[in-house]
Order: sequence, then C-alpha cells, then structure tokens
Amino acid sequence: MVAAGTWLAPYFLQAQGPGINSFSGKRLIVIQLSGGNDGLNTIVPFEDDLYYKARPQIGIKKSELLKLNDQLGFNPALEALRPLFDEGLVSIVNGVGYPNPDRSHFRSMDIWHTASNSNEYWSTGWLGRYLDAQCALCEAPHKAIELNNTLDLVMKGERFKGLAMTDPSQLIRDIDTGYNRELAQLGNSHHEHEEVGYLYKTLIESVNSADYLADQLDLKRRERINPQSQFSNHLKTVVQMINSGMETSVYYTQLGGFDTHAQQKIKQERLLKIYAEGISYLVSALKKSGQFKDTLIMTFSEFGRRVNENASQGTDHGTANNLFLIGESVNGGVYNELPSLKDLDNGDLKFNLDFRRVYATLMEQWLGANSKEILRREYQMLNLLKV
Amino acid sequence: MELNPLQINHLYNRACFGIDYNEYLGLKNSSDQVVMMKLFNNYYHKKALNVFGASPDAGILQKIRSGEVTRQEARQMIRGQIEASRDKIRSLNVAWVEQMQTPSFAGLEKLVYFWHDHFGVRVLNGYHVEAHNNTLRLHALGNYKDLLLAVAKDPAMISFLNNQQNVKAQPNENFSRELLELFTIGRGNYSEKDVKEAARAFTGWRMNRRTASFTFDERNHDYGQKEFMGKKGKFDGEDIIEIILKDPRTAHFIAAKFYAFYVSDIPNEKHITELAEYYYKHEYHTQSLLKYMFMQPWFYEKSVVQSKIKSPLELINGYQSQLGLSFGNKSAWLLMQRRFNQTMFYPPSVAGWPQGKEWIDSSSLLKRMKMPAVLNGMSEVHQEESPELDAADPFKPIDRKQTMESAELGLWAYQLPEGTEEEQVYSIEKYLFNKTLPNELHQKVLEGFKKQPKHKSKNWLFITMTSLPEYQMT
Repeated sequence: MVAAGTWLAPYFLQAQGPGINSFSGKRLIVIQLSGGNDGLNTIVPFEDDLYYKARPQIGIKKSELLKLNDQLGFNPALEALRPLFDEGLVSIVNGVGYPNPDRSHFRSMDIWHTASNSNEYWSTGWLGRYLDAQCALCEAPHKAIELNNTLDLVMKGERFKGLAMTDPSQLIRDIDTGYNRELAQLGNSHHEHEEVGYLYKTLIESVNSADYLADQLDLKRRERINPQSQFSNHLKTVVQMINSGMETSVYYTQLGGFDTHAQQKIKQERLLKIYAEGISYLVSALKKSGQFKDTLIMTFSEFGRRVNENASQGTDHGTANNLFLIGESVNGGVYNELPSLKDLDNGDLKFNLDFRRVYATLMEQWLGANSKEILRREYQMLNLLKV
Repeated sequence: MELNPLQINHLYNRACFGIDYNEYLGLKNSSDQVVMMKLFNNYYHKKALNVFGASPDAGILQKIRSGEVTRQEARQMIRGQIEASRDKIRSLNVAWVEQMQTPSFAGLEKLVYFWHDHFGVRVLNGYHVEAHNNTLRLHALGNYKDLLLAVAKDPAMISFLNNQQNVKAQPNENFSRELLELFTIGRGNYSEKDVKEAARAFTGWRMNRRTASFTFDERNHDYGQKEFMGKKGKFDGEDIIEIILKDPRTAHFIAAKFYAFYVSDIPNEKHITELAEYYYKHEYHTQSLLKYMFMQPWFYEKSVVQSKIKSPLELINGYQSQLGLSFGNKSAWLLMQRRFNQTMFYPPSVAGWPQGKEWIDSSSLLKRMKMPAVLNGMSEVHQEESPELDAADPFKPIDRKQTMESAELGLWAYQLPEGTEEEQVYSIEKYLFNKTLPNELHQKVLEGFKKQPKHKSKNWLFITMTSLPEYQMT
C-alpha cells in the first residue's frame, strides 16, 4: 500500500504555473489522415504509364497536376501547399511503411501509434513514451495535446499521458463544474490503493492544465478562418496555444474520411483541399508570430491504397505511402523515389523506408530525445533535416 | 466462511455488475456455500443472442448454381447483406448489454465479456459476430479446451485471424501466433519455430462460406511431420491445442488473466499460482475455478476490495444496477459505450481492451466524473461529432442529444435508511464503495448533504458519490 500523500505532494505543489520542465522550445505538430489516404493520387508519378494503366478511371491527367519535378506532381487539390513546396519548406518522403504490413485500419494505425512491429501489441504510444523519457519533472499533461474527444494510444506513455481536448474553454468549464477543484484539493490525503492515488493525481494534473490554459490563452479573442471545418478549428486552437507561448512540445490532430473505396476522386480532393488550406493557414499564422522556425509538421496516414483502382472508382486498402514534413528546418523537395509500380507485393507498393526511422530522426534531431529509449529499438537516422 | 452484506456486495460487484440498492438493503450474513449456490444457480440461465440467425450468403450460392444470378450479381448481394448486418450489430450490442443487466444472467454474461476481451475478435460480418458470441457463452463455464477448439473453428475467428488463407502451400501464421501469445501460454514461452509448426497443423481449418460453418479442407491440410514444443508427430490443430494445455504455464497465463479481471489490477503471484494449480488440476474447468476463487478469504481482503479501476462497461452497467439507470431510447447504451471508448464487438485489437490505469487520462476521468450529473439532468452533454475513421466509428450517427435525454434514474424508488444524516451518508458509502470514505472527504460530503433541500438531498447524495474518483474503482 502506498501512502499517496508523499508522492502526490510534488505534483500538487507545482499547481501554480509551468514550473520546472524540459521544454526545448521546439515543437512537433502531427497530422493524421485517418482512413488510409491514397498516396498515389496525392503525389502522382505522371511519367509512369503503369500508373495510368492501373487507374484508367481515377488517374489524374498530367495536364491537371501541379508539377513538382519531371516525374511527380501534386493532386490539384493541394494547390495551397504548392507555394510552401516552392519555398523549400516541404519534404515529401515516399514509400514509407513497415515490414509485413497489415491492411486493417485499426491494426495499422496501432502500429503507427505504438511504433511496434506488425506482430507485436504494445500498450503505449511513441509520443507517450516521449513524455515518459522527457518528463521526469513534468507536472501536467499539457506537454502533449491531442485535439480530440478521447486520447489516442499514441499519446499514452507508461507513466505520463497527454491531454485530449477539442476546445480549451470547454475543458476549463468542465473543470469548474461539480466538485473537481475541491476534490483536487483533497488529493494529497491518504489513499488506501495506489490506483485511487493515480485517479487523484490525474485529476490534479487536469486542474493544473486547465488553469495553465486559462492563464495563457486569451479565450475571448476569436479569429475567423475560412473555410470552417473541424480540422481548421483544431488548427486555429493550435495556433492560439502556440502563439500564447505555451510550453507544449507535441500537438496531435487528425483529419478523417480517407477510406475511399468508392467514388474516390470527389471525396479525396475535398479532403486534400481542407488539408492544404489548413496547412497554409497554420504556416502563415506561425510565420507571422515568429513561431514557425521552431515548429515542425508531420503528416501521415495509416496506409496507402491499392495500386489498381477497383470497380467502384475507388481504391482498396494498401501498404506503403508518402509522408510530408513541413518546416524551415526540413530539406525541402522530394526526399526519395517512389517505390516501383512494377515490382508489387500482391498489388501493393513495397515500402522502401521504415516509418520508425522518420520517428527516430525527429526524436533525436528535432526534439532532442533518445530515440532508442523511446522506440525501444535502434533505427538509422535519415537525412531529413538541416542539422 | 461467513460472508457479511459488504462482502456479498463486493462479490456481486466483481462476479456480476453490482447489486440493486433495494436488494442490497435486504442482504444478511450468510455462509459462503449458500451465497455461491445462489450465484451459480444463475449461471445455468443461458440465453443465446438471436438478432441475426442464419448465415448471410445462405441461398445465394444456390441461386448462382441455378443460374438465377451471375457471380458478379451474387457478390454484390452478399456485400449488401453484410453492409446491412453492420447496422444490425447495433441491435446485437444493445441486446447483449441488456442481457448483462438482467440479474439472473449477469454472472454468466460477465464471464462472456471476459472471454470476448480474451479473444479480441472484431469482424464486420454481423452473422459471424453473433455466432461467435454464442460460442463464447456456450462454453464459457466448461473446459477451456472445448472453448478454445470451438473458437478455433468459429467463422469469426477464421476470418479475423486469416485462417481461411492458411493452406499447406502457403501457411498463414496469424492464428497460431495469437494462439500462443494471447490465448494460451504467453510471450517468452515458445519459439518462432513453434509458431510456424503450429500454423502448419491448422492448415485447412476453414469455413464454408455458404453455411458459415467450420469445414476441414483436406486438400489444403499439411499432413506431414511437425515438431512443436519439443514434441514430434503428425500433429493437427487439435493436437497442438492439447500439447499447449498440457503445459502448466498455460494454466498460469489464463489464471493471471482471471486474477486481473476478477480480483485486482495489481498481480499477487502467490494467489495467481494457487489459481493456476487449481485450474490445471481441474482440467481447466472454468466454473470450478470461479467458485474456488470466490471462496478464498483473500478475495475479500482489504487489499482487494475497491482495488480495480472499472472498465467503461463495468461503469455503465454499474450506473444501471446502482443508480437504476434506464433509457427510453435503448441506443443510448451504445452511445454510453462509445462515449467512454469501449464498444462491445469492437475491441481495439486481438489483444483486447486496455485495463486498469490505461483507461484513465484527463479527458476520460473528467467524462466519468461528469456523467452522473449529466444523467441526472443537471448539465448537458457536450457532444462534438468525432472525426469519421470509417469503420473505427462503425455506427451511423444517431441523434445523440435526444437519445441521451431519454435517460431515467431509478433513484426516486430508493429510500435512505432511518438514522441521522451522518448514518445515512455512511450507509450509502458502504453500498457504493464497500467501506466508508476517507474522513476528510466524508465530512465534505456530509456537509454538502446537509445543505441540500430535503426533496433534492437523496439524488444529490447518490450523484455526488457516483461522481467521485472513488466510484471509478470496484
């Protein structure tokens, strides 16, 4: 039995303000395209006949594409991303995946969240373990914030967990309803079971985070951005938090609906447009406040889609996919070649780059963390960033 | 051993989903034999779920043969039926949860929930989902070997872990790997070679899509010599299961899971070993094991009572049994599960749901602490459409607000026991927490209780107490 009073005290004492922590000044924004974005129609190999042969109905004509080099072009819906690419702020990494790919959304997302092998089931996420490693002295979960109703596995560590919320004002209101504050005050009394102590610790941390947000943010200021979508609202909240000087290292948000088994073209292009316009807003807002140089944005999806289109003008679940890194520190441009469209694995692209090497590089070279400890294996660094 | 009302209450929290308030008030000291008899008599009430019935493709193949439809058309018909079955899984889910909430079924259904978590099957074909759930129920209390064999032959499992694709020419290891890692002996107790050899033994264990039943496909079965866990022979799947169950480490692995589910989040090696030995000696007979576990004095020790963090399902069913929660619109039971991130038939992976502390983070804790007041109509649920993750959010949006508003609590029928206000508070603490609250907290609650207007005080007391962090424990 743990006398919780002693080990809860340090958290409680730090209730006022940020306290000691390890904020490096650098932050990572992760954007998850949920449902499996079709990478081949996002970055199109317009010189490859095999592409047009595989996709007679949904293939995008060369003339419609926004050409990036003499091989590849952006889906026209990514127009808002084009100027950023031209400025050298975007790095396109092709053929990202992992060995023995799983074509189930949940499983593959789990693998991306935990950074496990495809035959392992881990109960913590890579960003959660980043908190574990960095946060020996963290006092509140706002070190890593997910814009969501529930906290995904990716943000859960062994000892620390990130904070999930969609709207800071709502979180603050939630804390102020009922008896949360009074209970948090009682938190450092004795608890018979360790687990109860853990519940009170979580409550205290939530109160601290809500107070921190209320302190930092000017919640009355409402910026309008267009078009209005849940995704753009989440990005707006992220901008607000960053520009207020919050010491948050990781922001996580997602855009869903990419599971385009039928009538892909309309659906995907609508989403890519929302994505690109959101990014364009995010970058310009952070540039304006001088925060962009300390921000890196990573965009991924749990898998790419089958090379051949299906009979419903859509595509089925596939494997390797492209991933975007955006920031002033990236080596802009197309990082590597697209996997061959000839040499396929059961109709799917063969990955040529393990996503965990991307994670490891970001951990070591951007967030200054020990990637081997966090990813539980050693991965070779990639030359993604200007170091 | 004599059990007092608090101990019986604890037993029902763990073996079932809690006990109704009025029934609790009527509890008296009883010998454990008598209590077990009452509990286990209920385990014989077995009711299969029956929302779907027959397999979807039945009849369609017939139509192809008779030339009534083309293959292409048939494929589309089957797809249509499966699509429709996804929606129907909602009804199946609610039917099951209601069965859990029926006192005479609760004990067995909690065990079925244990096995559902254990096997972690998640498929979209509603017919297979229902059949699998009924398989779990049929063998839940019997020998684990029978259950394991039946599950290995279940169409849901065969499609979920790709045994349909496990053929001699190209073995698929998915099922055999999880069999060893998650269903029987656990990591570290077998080699990669064992996985490969076991996969060979299960080749040809497939389903007949027409009848949605198990079929042994001789042509695709590997009849050759295998070497598995140090033994050599022309093993088939059944032999493999037999060999793994002969290994006492399997009994230990399952016993540890039972311990985590029924006893405590914090493992006690001595008690787990005791359970494992008993289970092994009784040929993995689950009912005997449960009875043995519930009759151990350590099951009622202070270190065990209120030591487990409730899973969302346990929390929701606890609202039903302890607050008398009901919904005019039954879909709300589904919304409740989704709100707390645990939806029956949709485990996150074959490894099952998170447990213990893994359930708790800032947002989930605040949601839990807010829910009783929401249900009581004191505040409104803030709902935001969660982003569509295709099948991760498998249910079509329903009018959440309206559905939730159909909530009704049974508190009006509760009567606080005679006595001083302090005695009343103590008595509800005992009912909800099996002990009294820490004094400082108790005083706060008492203070608040005294301040409430008379007609509101009873509800206030129950809502406040079920909103506490302590109520997240069982």
